[in-house]
Amino acid sequence: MAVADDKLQSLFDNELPSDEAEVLRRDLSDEDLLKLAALAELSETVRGTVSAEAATHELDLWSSLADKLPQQPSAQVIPLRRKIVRRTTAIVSALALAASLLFALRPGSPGDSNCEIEELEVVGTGATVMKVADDRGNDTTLIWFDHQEEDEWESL
Amino acid sequence: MGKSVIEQWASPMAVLALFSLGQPQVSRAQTEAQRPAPSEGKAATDATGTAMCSVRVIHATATGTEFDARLEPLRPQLKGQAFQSFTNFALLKQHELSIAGGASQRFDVPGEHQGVLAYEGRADAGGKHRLRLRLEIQDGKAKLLSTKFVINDGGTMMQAGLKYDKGVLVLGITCRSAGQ
Repeated sequence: MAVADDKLQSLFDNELPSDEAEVLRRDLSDEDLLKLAALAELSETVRGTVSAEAATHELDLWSSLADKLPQQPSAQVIPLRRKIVRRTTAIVSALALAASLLFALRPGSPGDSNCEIEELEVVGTGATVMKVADDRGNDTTLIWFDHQEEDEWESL
Repeated sequence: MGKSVIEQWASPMAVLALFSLGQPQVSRAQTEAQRPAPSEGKAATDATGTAMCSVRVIHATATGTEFDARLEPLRPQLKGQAFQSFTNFALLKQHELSIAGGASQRFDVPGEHQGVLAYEGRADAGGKHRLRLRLEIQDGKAKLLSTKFVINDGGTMMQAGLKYDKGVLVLGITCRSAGQ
């Protein structure tokens, strides 16, 4: 029994599963074999014709595409050593900046207090108001009062 | 060529990492119930928000040469000329006070004294946040010292002279506003 043409075409194109193709090949009649031969001849003819036609018209896609691409400067090639140095410098700089900020803004660190004493009352002989500077040039106000002996105390 | 991921994030990440270190380990002071400011009797009309104050109680003596590491923020002041007679500095206590506007809080001062810190409200000037506070040092019912002062938000005021255990006491008061 002759095999259907679509099956023959699939067999020719190697589109059938291997086991099915094997079974089909065993059942091919002489007519089917002639059809396969004709398909092979037709395919060879078409391939040769297309190749010959393509050879006479050289296709240059790149030149037409390149003209349409946006112009970009060529990438700068950085030697690996310089790249490592730059990256290291960036990290060290970041850490130095962080350390300086940590020093300047450390928790509890007094900043510029600009303290203004509006009232001051003490017992005893008196008190002294002075400015003490920190290491950043900011002043901290200090009230130093002379602590009296207990029997000299009196309430304000 | 764009920056690498490390270059883009190294700075902020390093800052965050370093800032997460070194938070002071302090005991929270006994904070008794809010009470009216000691001398004013009632809150000032512009007293709003809350002041967060750290009160460092420092013992300065002329014996020894140790410097308490927890006092590093105040090292320049304590090592300055005003304290040149003292060589040993120890942090006896650090009180953390949260003081509502117009109220005060007490804190213990060695030698059976009491400190009272009152927050009288904001006193902004010159485009800067400033806080008005009152400090009293009491011996029983007697007031040894009473002062009203204004400092920048986050600023520090120091008080010293109270004799204690062969040395003197130094109070370092740092306040910042909160909740305004």
